[in-house]
Amino acid sequence: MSTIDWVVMCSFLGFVVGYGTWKTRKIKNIDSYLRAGRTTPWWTIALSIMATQASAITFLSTPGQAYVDGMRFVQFYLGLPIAMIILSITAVPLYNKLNVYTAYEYLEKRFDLKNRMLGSGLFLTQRGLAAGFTIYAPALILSVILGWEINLTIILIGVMVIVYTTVGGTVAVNKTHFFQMIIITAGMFSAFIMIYILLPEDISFIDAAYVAGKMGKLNAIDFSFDLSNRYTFWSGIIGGTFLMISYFGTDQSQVQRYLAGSSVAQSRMGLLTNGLVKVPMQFIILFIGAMVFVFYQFTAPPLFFNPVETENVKQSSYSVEYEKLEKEYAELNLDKQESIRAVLNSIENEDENISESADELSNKQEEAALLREKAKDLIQKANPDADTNDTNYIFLNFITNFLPVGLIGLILAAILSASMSSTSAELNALASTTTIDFYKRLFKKEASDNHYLKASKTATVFWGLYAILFALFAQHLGSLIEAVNILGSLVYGTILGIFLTAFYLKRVSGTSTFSAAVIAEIAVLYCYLFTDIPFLWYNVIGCLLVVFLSVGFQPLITKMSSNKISS
Amino acid sequence: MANNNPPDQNLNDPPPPILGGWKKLYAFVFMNLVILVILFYIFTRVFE
Repeated sequence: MSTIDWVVMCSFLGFVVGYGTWKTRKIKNIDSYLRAGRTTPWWTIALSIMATQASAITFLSTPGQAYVDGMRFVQFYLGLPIAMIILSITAVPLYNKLNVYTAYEYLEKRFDLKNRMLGSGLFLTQRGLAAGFTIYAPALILSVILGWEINLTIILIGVMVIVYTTVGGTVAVNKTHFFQMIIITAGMFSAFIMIYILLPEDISFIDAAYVAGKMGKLNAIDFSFDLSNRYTFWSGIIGGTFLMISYFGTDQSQVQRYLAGSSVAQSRMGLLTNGLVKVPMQFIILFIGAMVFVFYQFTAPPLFFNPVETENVKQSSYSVEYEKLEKEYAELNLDKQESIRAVLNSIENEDENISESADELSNKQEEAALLREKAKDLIQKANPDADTNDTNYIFLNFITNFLPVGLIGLILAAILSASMSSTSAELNALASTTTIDFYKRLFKKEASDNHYLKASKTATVFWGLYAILFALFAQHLGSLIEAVNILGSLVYGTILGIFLTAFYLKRVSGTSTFSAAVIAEIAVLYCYLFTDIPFLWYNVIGCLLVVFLSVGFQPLITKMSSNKISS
Repeated sequence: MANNNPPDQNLNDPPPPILGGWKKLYAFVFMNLVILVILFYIFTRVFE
């Protein structure tokens, strides 16, 4: 990386940490620290919600996912706008009326302490681990680019986020989110323009789209109802809606963003803006990944995108075999270019033989995939602990090898910003839940405002260190974006079931809901460990089990209570 | 903690800054989703 790139990246990161710390150094009370004094306007809420969800994982893994698997991942977000509408109608006015600091406070008001503890406990478990992932992703970039130990980069990034989040709390998180979203948008837009510029002169933008489409990368919508297919319209619209209601309605890292709103209207506008913008934004990021795929059809891609594993296999006894595969892959890539141009000619001339050309291209694509599989086998043989999933390195490889000086620094700053923005919101939420739902509720009910402020800051540092520790162990978990979403889906359905029961089933008691939630969580874990059900459906299963079981248990609980009273 | 603060003063919220009513805004967000799905489907079919 050049000096200019270093200057661009470090200037922006230094500005964010400095600005977040300096601007919020005078915060002296818990309300300002955890809810920004409830003064936040809707546009800041909207940007903050988007910045919280858009982690570095989004910008590293999503384009890579489109490169490998096409754009069908966009369907994962189809439930989001529906979730934003439902939450604007239900959760926002309710939380606002109850004047709560965390979503889980509501559960005690509606049910009892054990439901509040279960909800907040599940959140702390899941979000604590997810915070580790969001630190790990950008640490990976720096370690690859600088050749540094990944452990060192994890600690550096983690400490930067801990500093301004601990000093300024929610205000610092919201204020820095604004600048982080600007740099993220600028970074992705620049990457898109550069891909367009770097395509061969005879390949127009429409040609590139046809190439991606013919090679199965523009598969944005699939209406087939197939439970074994992870991303379809139905899994997105049904499972995705459940997941998004749960994430935005019950996950404190998001709830905290709109609890800071100056009114119900401001909070609603923030959520609805997210509902309008998020799906197109994900579409564009995936489309960038599909265009990177097209770019690599005309510029020889590496056989395997992870440079560290490639180096390992080349240093092993399998180096000759691997280099032979590399040669075959490069030759095949040249052949593919001819087939691609043949397909484009057929399209342009409306040739009847287009299906033949397309089949030929498809066969070569399969051959290329087979060569990559063989390469992965060799990598695994050379190092049995090697990570053979290189999805997260694809976009990174493009950025570092083909973008001009200055832009590399800008895009890396965008990716690091994304990581810092979501990690800061997570630490902020974890600290709120720890302080309000556990420390204040269970251990120290009456203390000064300053005491809780200090407790919140201590909790922020604790969770920051916890996330760093988890990140140090997160190196062999496959595609990061999927790992985070799977982790979320293991608990979100159950949490959502508890909240939906609380919102809509007024006759169901806390004990029924708690028992149903415990069984539902066991069932979801069973599905994950012993079945092939795609993870988006865990949200539906967990949620429906809580709702139906709690309704089913209620007569039994009522009967047991009345027996107790009469005896 | 929740009760230590002044009661909420914003329960009677004004309508949203655009479209004049919340129901219209919800319908707008939903229709935006429907249109996006249709466009994505056309996009998929055209280039496949």
